[in-house]
Amino acid sequence: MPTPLDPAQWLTDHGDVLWRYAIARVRDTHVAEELIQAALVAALESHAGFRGESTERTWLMSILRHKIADFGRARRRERSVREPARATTANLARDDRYNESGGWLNHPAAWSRSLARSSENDDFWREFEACLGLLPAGVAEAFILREVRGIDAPVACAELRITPENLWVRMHRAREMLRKCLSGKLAGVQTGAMIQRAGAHKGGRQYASQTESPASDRGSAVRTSNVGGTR
Amino acid sequence: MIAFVREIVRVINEPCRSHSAMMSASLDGRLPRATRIGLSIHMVLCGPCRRLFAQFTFLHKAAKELGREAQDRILRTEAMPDDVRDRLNARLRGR
Repeated sequence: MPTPLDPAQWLTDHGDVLWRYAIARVRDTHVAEELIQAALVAALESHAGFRGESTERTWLMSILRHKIADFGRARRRERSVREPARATTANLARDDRYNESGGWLNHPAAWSRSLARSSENDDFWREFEACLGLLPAGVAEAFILREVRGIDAPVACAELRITPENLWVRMHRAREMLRKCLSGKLAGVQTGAMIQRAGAHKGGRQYASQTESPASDRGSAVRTSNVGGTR
Repeated sequence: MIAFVREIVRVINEPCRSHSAMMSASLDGRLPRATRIGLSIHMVLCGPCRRLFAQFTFLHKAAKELGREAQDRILRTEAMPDDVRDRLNARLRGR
């Protein structure tokens, strides 16, 4: 005889676990809340389907996992119709910089000097944190252990329970995604004020275009003296 | 010596896609010398790669200064917020 379910206790018993799981995947508190709600409602409705073959927690988690997967699919469909260039985990993970033979297709966008200087101000750190938060959990974790906390590779591998090879792949992904995210944000709405302020100081310097520049565009678009352009 | 030079030449001529991973490896301090030299020469010749490396390097340096609180927020180890729990409970009861 399976243990009867007690929906009134679900959030008390499993709320934290469901929350952490959802947040780690969707990185948005509102979406996480909605997905958990959808999962719990689905669980209520299929109440009778619970046979006690798994624990209550495993059962709820599997429903939540399905809801998250559905959400991910719907979001991807929507994105493919809408405009590109929004900083989302999926966008950041997309490899669109090289052509088939591995040559440059989209050059990295120039970063204005204001970005480099702004590493002393709060706006920059907010953006940096937001971008780091968009990375898949394991990737962000690897980056923080190694780059922020300066932990040795073998220790980081042990902590993350991954191979060194895997760690290096995550580090590379983290750098690629962070760089792309900050490139987008630089000219994005949120940083608009920051750029304007910096621009006011510098007498209205111009800033790089919002998206990564196509290789064919070389030299034609607005270019600024930049962090990485000339050295 | 010949192998050393050959590696340098190989790296210079690799497609740029693989240079990105090499840059990352270099910042991780695990790029062999010949590969590092090849990459440096390549970057003298290739503007986009140079810029990419400068941006990676910028992130590498900036990361060291990320505050502890921000790290904890990103790594998210917190519990479900009370207001979320209350709302969800209310909706479950409403069913």
